[in-house]
Amino acid sequence: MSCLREENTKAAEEIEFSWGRKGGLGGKNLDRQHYESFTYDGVEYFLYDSVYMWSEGQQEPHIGKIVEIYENHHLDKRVKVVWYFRPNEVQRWLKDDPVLSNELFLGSGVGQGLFNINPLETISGKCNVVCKSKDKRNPEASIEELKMSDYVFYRTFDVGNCSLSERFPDKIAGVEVGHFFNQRKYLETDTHPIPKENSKVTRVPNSSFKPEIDNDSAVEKDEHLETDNFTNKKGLKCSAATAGRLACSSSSASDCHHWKKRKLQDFEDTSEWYKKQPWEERMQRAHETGALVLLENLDPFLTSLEVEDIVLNAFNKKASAKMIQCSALSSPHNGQALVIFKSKEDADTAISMLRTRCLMIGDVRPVVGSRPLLKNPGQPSKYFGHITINNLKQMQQADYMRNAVSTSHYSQPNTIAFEMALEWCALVMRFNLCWDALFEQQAKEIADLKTHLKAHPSKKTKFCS
Amino acid sequence: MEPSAEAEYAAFAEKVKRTIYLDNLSHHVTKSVLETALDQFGNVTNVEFIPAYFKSSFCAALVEMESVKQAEEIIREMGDSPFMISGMPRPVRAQKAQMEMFEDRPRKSRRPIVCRWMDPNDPNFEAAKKFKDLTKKHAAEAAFLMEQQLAEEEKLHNQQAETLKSNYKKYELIDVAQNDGTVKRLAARYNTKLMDA
Repeated sequence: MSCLREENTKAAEEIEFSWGRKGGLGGKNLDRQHYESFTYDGVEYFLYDSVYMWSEGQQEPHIGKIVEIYENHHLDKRVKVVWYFRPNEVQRWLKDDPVLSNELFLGSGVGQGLFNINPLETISGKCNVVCKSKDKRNPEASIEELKMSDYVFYRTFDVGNCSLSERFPDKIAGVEVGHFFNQRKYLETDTHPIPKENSKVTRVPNSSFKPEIDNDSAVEKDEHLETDNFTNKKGLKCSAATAGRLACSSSSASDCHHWKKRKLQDFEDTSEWYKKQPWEERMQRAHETGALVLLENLDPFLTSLEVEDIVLNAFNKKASAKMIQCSALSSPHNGQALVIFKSKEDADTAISMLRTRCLMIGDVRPVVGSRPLLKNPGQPSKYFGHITINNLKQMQQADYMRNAVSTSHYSQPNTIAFEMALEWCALVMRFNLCWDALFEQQAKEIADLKTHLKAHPSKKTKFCS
Repeated sequence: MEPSAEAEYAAFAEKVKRTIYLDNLSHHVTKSVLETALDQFGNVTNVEFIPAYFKSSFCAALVEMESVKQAEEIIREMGDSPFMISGMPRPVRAQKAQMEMFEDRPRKSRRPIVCRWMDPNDPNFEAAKKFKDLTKKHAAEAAFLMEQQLAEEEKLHNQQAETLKSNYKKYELIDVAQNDGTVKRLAARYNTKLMDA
């Protein structure tokens, strides 16, 4: 008699956590250590990030903006969160106003329900909330950002007098309203002071990402340049609008440029003189700032370096690229690569150039560029197939069963697990056939087009190797 | 420079032959779990996870074995009977690794890559545009199929969970009945002999 027992992989349940940059001390007796960032379950959160908060028993997660992060003297980690309200929560006061499908309302005013101080562990992920307000203090969001956002907001809901308004007060829950508007993220993520000195600034990564992939081939020149630009900006307090470009204020323009030139020269001479950041971190950062581009319809045999060459020659811009590793279900005709440009503008220009004109590789493959939809880091994709049973009574035999589940094994033909496994095999095989058929058909369509292109050969100029 | 590049490529090709591509893994599977799992069959030299950046991708890993023979044997055996890693009952799937699955691969050949911007006046411009649209269409089709697959997997999972639960209840029922003597009494009532299991 064998049945599936409680699966004991709970050992892996320890969710990793580490503090980021420290803030000041707060609280009545100055016994609270405030922080500006932390890493939880592999995701780095910063002050003023919008996050999902969820606890057992709730239907859907709440969405809020972190306005304070601290650890009190009991060593409890707390976050103070100002809430965004969903349309169904303020239904009564909406009346007949039109509401967007992904609209939220920022809490404001004074009263219960504006904010809460919650344990940090109730955070369940980052949320991309973009502000569409026409308020002068709000940096306008680009169309791409709006498309990529999870939610948008442009109205506030005053919890005191329960009214909706398009006007934003100067402070919400004691925090300057500027923090609630769109942030130019890179201004926040910098960690170093004004770089007036000539020493090389090392960028120490804050988060505890486990770098499983180390992009040895690509030289991290561009990322470093990016960082230096940001450092510059923070030191000179440049306006948010032109972030990414070296738009220093006039007073120290000469310093800036001089410093930048020196840095460039350093790169030409030495490569990798500082601890490089893992690709995943840079990719996430680029994704947030909008500098990440997905190139499709490449030759699947290309390497990352070749892609970087292509980008350099085609757009005259340096970027770092990574060919996406194929899995069994990737199309064999279509190679994809993720490219991190130096700035959002570069990425935008590249995408629009690819859209309006045609970049042909090998004369028959036009490259398609777009903004990728990345998965939320720390949020594992869905996986079905592992079933567990919680049963207190069978606890005596738990040890033996625990071993059975945790050691990887071939299942015996007389168990129920075996039969179920066969069902899974059948399902997988069915879909394999579907995928094969799909790829075959796609291959045919591609071949048709290719012959059409080849039939009209045009003048070509080689310009890269 | 030439011979070393070719030798590099040959060495890489050999490594590919020795590597197994495993997917249908659950997220809890770690490098050490995979190592121990496959150590039962041979010597594992390296384990690498394939990063999943997009919403629709799933966990997969590349496991490099000591010899080509070991790799082939494992792939064959896993094809014949279901192998479970860290959870039941969904088995993992093992296949031969392909070159494109690797992250750091050497260039395929020394041929130069030709790339150019096509003129809008070029007669092929329209065709190229169609090609771009086709790529997008293919991507959408693939995404759709992936969604379908996930939906079916979810269905099967729920179905199996139900079956399992009801099975379990049956066993429990029997257990309870045995433990509190109901079975003995029933046997006495119907004048049947109880066989001790």
